[in-house]
Amino acid sequence: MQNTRVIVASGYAQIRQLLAELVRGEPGADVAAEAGNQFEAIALAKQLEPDVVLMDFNLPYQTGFDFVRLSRISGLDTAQTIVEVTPNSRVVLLNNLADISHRKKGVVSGITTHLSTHRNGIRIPLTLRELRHGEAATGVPVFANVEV
Amino acid sequence: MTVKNSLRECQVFSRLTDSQLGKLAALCSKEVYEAGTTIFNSGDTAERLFVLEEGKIALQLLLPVKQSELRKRITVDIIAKNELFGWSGMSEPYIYSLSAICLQRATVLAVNASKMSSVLQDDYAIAYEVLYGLVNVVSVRLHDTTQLLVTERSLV
Repeated sequence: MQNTRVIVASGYAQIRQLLAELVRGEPGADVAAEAGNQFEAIALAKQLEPDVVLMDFNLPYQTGFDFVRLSRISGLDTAQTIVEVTPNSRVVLLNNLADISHRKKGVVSGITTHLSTHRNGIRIPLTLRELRHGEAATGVPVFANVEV
Repeated sequence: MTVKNSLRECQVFSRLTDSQLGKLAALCSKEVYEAGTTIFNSGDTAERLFVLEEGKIALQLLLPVKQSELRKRITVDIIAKNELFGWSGMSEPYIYSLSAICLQRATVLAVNASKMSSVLQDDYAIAYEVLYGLVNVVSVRLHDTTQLLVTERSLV
């Protein structure tokens, strides 16, 4: 069976590194590409049609607009767009990465992480393999967290 | 936390007295939404406004794309704890202008907008404080939306 190909996307290089380490930590998963903004994420998804996209909510619309207070909130928009344009990809929107980065005072590489999602308030562990082959609905992003 | 205390934590209602808060608290119900849930869509009839107690909510604008059935999505604001959203319920034509989508599991206070309007009509002191707060919410949202749309179109 082919490895699970994953695109990681975040506006922060450290978070992309953290997500790449999470991918490499799971047997049978490879990082296919890294994206730093909405434009790159959508273009790479169309080009590579990955099995999974791991996306930080904090994703810039475009680069160079950091002076706009809300310039880094395109994660949801991008995730919804990618599930439309590459319906075979599972897109995971991660909402707590800024919290992890803050808690770890900016040092996020080298820490052990895994994915989880919540149903009815109960935390459920999630693997990339399950995302690829599991029952996640197509056409909508999966909302998940990175657990340290 | 009691409904009255939750309202007090929200800037829009923070200057109301205990008895004034009590009148509004009677119009509220507490609701929980899972991550990914859409609380309302743009274009829906706006019957309620909301105060976020826990979680994180994205307010999203949908723009038509020329010669395509797709619509471009732009998140124009993120609602954090104790912030109010859904103010369209207090203003004609009572249609939500944005969609509200839960990024994290969210606990909200839902306020019946038409009943709140009745309370404001009966008590001008409450009306002044609440409408003053709502103007600030609308002002911030307008500013954020303008900034993002200008950025999106690379006009800056």
